[in-house]
Amino acid sequence: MDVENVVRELFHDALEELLIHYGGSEELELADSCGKTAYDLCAVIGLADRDFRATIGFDATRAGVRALMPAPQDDYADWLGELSNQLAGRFKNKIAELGLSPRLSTPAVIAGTELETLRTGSGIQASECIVAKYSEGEFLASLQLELDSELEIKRSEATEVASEGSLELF
Amino acid sequence: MSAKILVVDDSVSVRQQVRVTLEQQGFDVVEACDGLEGVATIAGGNIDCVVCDVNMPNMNGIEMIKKVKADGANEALPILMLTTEGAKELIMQAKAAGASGWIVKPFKADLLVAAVQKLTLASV
Repeated sequence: MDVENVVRELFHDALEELLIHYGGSEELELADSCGKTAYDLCAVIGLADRDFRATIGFDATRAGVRALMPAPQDDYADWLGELSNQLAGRFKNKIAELGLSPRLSTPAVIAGTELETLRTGSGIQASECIVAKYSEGEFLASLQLELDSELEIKRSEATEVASEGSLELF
Repeated sequence: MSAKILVVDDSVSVRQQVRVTLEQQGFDVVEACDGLEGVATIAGGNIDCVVCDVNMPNMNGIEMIKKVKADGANEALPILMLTTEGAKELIMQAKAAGASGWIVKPFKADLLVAAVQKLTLASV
């Protein structure tokens, strides 16, 4: 089984679930694309282990960020950072089933105008790029993977994971 | 007198969401942006319960718990983790450090409220 393809699929699932959760009834269109589009905000968050490293980019228009706010607020960069944190967290919880348990970084967010994040070229190759469009805004989620050539899926070493939204009192 | 809840998270958006959810139920809410500020706020006294993220700059949530619980005066202070992390190993680490519970983000408001209500009643 190709590890990279499985991981890319899980990233796709994590993104879709996150956007559906916060987008509610908003109609969501997903497309595989790495084309250049200018965004207002770019978030970056990383996952790293000895044989698995991933960088997630999560770019958005301000309208897109606003569309996913549970309640109105002024700090768009902070909310995109939290969305990228939750995207990475969902992704991390999914790949735990493959026996992968990288550490999660804290997100960094850049705000500006006409931001174009480099996705391909100069030795940088995104493994997965997904453009998510709502009626009011747009996101670009990208995944850059660096996998050890010897890396294998080891479901027998899968980490048990608590489900999203769950509560456990000790 | 309303119970005072400390929310510790590096995301102002999450702190605001938790604040609104808990204030609607009559709790007093104060905020801290990372574990270091959380430790300082708890040291100031009068905190009845803590809702705390795990992954934060300067001092993460589990480090914060260990620091806080090293002070015997905080032995009974309930600390509820609120985080994207779901790995059982990490949950066990937090429990061993002295956490009282764990919620995986995104949180359901009714579960968060019920947990904080239960923890603040139990610590009286």
